[in-house]
Amino acid sequence: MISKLCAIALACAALPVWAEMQALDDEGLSQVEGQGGVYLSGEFSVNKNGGVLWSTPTTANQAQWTADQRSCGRNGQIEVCGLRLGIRSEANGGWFVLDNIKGIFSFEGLTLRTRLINSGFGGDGAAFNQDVLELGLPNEMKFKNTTFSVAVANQGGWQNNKTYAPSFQQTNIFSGQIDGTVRVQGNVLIFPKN
Amino acid sequence: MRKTILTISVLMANSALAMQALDDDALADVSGQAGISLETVSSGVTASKISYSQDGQSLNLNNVSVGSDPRAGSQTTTTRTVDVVDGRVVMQSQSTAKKASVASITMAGSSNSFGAVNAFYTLGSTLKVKGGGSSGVSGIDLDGSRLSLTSATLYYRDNGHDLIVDGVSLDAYLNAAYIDVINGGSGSEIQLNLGTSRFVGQINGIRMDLAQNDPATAVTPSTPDTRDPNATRSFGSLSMDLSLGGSIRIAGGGASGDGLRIKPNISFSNSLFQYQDTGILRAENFSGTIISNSGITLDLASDARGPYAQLAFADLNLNTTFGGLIMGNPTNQKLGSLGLDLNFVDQGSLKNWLKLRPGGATTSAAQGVTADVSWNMANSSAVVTDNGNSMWFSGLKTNGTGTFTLDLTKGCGTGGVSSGCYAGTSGNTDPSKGNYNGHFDGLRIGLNNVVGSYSFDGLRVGSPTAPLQGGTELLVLAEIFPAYDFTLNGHFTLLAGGSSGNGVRYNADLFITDARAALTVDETGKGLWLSGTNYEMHFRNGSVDVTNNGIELNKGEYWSKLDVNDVRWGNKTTGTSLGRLVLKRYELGSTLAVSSGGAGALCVGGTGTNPGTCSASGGRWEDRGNEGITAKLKNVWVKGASSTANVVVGDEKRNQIIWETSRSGGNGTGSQLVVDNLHTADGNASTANGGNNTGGTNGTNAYGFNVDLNLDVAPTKVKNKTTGQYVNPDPLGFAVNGRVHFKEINIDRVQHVHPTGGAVTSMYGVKLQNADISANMTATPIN
Repeated sequence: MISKLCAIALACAALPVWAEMQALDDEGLSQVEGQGGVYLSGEFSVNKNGGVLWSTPTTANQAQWTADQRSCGRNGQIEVCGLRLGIRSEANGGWFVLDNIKGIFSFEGLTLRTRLINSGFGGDGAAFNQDVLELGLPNEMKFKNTTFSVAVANQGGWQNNKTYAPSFQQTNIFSGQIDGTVRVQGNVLIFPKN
Repeated sequence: MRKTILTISVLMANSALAMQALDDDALADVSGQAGISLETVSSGVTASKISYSQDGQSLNLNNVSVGSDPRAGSQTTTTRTVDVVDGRVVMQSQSTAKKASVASITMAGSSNSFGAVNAFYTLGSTLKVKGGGSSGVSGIDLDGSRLSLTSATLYYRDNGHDLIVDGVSLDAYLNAAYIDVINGGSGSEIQLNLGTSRFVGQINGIRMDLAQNDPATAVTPSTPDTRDPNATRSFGSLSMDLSLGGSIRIAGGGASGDGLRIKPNISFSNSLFQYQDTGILRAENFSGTIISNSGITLDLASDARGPYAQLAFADLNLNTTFGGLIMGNPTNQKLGSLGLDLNFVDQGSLKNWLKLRPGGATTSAAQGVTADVSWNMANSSAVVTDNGNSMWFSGLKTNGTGTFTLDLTKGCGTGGVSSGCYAGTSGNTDPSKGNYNGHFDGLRIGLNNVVGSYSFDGLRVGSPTAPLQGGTELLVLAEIFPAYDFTLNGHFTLLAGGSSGNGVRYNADLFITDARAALTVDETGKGLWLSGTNYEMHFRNGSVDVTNNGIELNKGEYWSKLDVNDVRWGNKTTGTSLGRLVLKRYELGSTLAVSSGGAGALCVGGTGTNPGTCSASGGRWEDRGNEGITAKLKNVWVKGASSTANVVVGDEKRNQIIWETSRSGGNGTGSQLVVDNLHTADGNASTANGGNNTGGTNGTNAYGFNVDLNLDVAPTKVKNKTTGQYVNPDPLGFAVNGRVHFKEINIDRVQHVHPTGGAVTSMYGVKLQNADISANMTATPIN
């Protein structure tokens, strides 16, 4: 039994590892058929109905929010809030913040399997001769109401500076929103380099 | 037929069996009747020793007595009638309440004991016998016979502590049942043909009395020992109603030499099994077969460690279907059905046997049970059916060997009575530490060098011959791995009574070494492996309850250390390594709840709550039915002591992740990335940074890091990546609707450790707030 933390750690640890995009040809696809890998379809969403720390107030007037209420709408709109990530890179320093991270990412055809690369790649494959974890990318990925804000703040946790914490300061540098479809073809090959 | 020598030497120490004269009135009643009525009155039977001897070994029941239940007087009265009805001899017997006891069960050549047994019970029977077995020519016809055990309470005593099985009743109805002597593979065998028999059983409760030995007042089911404050709490109640068929054969000759061989070919159908706590676990339609062609052998033997009784089987197939499974409230959604096809078979050096030795763990006096176990299960499978859609966990296999011990134990200083307790060896007497080696209160299951492995080939969805596919990767969050090799030591100690009412409480210390676990693996054994893993886990005051919400496991206080020597890609032993990974956890009040019912209807890729609004938002509406499984994990990570910038804290109880690479001389000689003092919090928004989790305005830590999983077998949209066309009809897949949510996760420090330069801090705090992340995925074969 290994923990869920471990799985998360592995997923994170895999990211900086060497990776390369590669399209599967018809022959490669025919070899995939019937193997023990997995084809995943579905969605991945972050706070699509809001989070669990802050409830959504009924008024845009921040001074009337309770301690556990927060709205993340712009221009006076009331809107659920996304995930907040704060990082402090200096002792007694300020915080770099990615705030209001939310959205829906849906896809059909994300595949996962292990694969031995011992040929191809212009001759480099034979020399490589190593197993990789292959993420077969879905042809397209849909983004819906995907938002984020980049900010700096004087503390990691958000607080209502109109009522409970007048000293709390946060400055949003910019915000982004993504809607639409992104074409993502080919494979991501992940392998360790100790 | 091989000769089995059964020697029973009984010393009748005090026997009294009295005939009682019928008076005139009774004689008048008898006159003219067709049968015989006989009433016997006995003051009981005692024997100083009853022995079963075989191949020079003996199993001894010492100081055996069978007499009247003291609550019913000093004598047992048994009424018997013998009659002939419709060509059958009908023998009815009914006795008053009895008590039987065995002071110790031992084996010649060992000073240890399996323990002692006391039983209070009432027996009755109706035997309807006529000549002619299943062939109608020879043998015995038992059709219509009935055996009845009622009002039974059993006491198993180990080291002065008692395990009590309360309110036992069993009724056996033998319909179309026959006894024949037939020719078997190794000679003549006795065959009991079960016909269409029925067994109805009930156990009202299983309790423990950990007060040592007996109180001043004799203990009976009506006058229990009340010195142990937990003596009234129960593991829960069991009931079953089995409709049986098939046969059981009994032959002489064990696995070697003399002995006994039992060949089951039993079928059961339309049966019911139920465990009850506050909620229930129930299989409403329980069916299957138990078959061993070569038979289950019983032998007495001896080796360098002493004498033992061995059960062995070269083949045993258990094929069962638990239909109409319910967890929790019977009015809730159902799980569906669960089928198991388990094939235990000897393969070369991989054998199936159980060697029972008198005496338990070495720290638990000379009584108890030690079992050396070897198992090998091959080519097995489990199938889950959800709303008529089935998914097979295919190619399931496991094998291993190890020693298990069973004892009733008492911890010192754990409350209540302490006589007979074991505090541990010097320096290891603090139960709040991981190196504690004393006992806890309860039924202790010791694990010694259990070396084993399990794996399965993958999933098959829709039919047992469907293509193998992945998908078990989606269960890693629930700590279920597609393959695992391990060496296990430690103990589970179970105490009757759950967090409230009936159920189970537990303490455990588990040490897994030399382990390899797969995070993902294909049919050739290649995947992503955690190799060279050592994993120690400690549980204090955990509990398991079945409530109306399902099965609820509370981990109590839990701390662990997982040390993965190599995270490997490809082969589990030779694949390239990512490096070493260490994960420490310290949790308080973490829970796991499993209940019936899956995801139901939901919107994939959109936000609607019905087909119309879902479609309008760009989503796809999927209805996965009312069956399935829901699992909810909550991990409450506790904040540890504060650290300093240039020191990596090595506390036993702490949440910490270490990734080490470029090791030059073993673990600790490479470069490390340390994520230190990771902990959850409830994020009190009225206090700066949520407070310090000490309660009140300083904030609390109860919400935790939550993972909710809905598991279903359901159809989904699959697009062929070559043609870009959807597969028609929608193929079935393993659907996992996962949700991760937490209020706040904090990391105090991210450090980098150079092998010579020491530790520095790169991040002085990380805080994540307000997360509600969903992953709604269906796994199908690659198209």
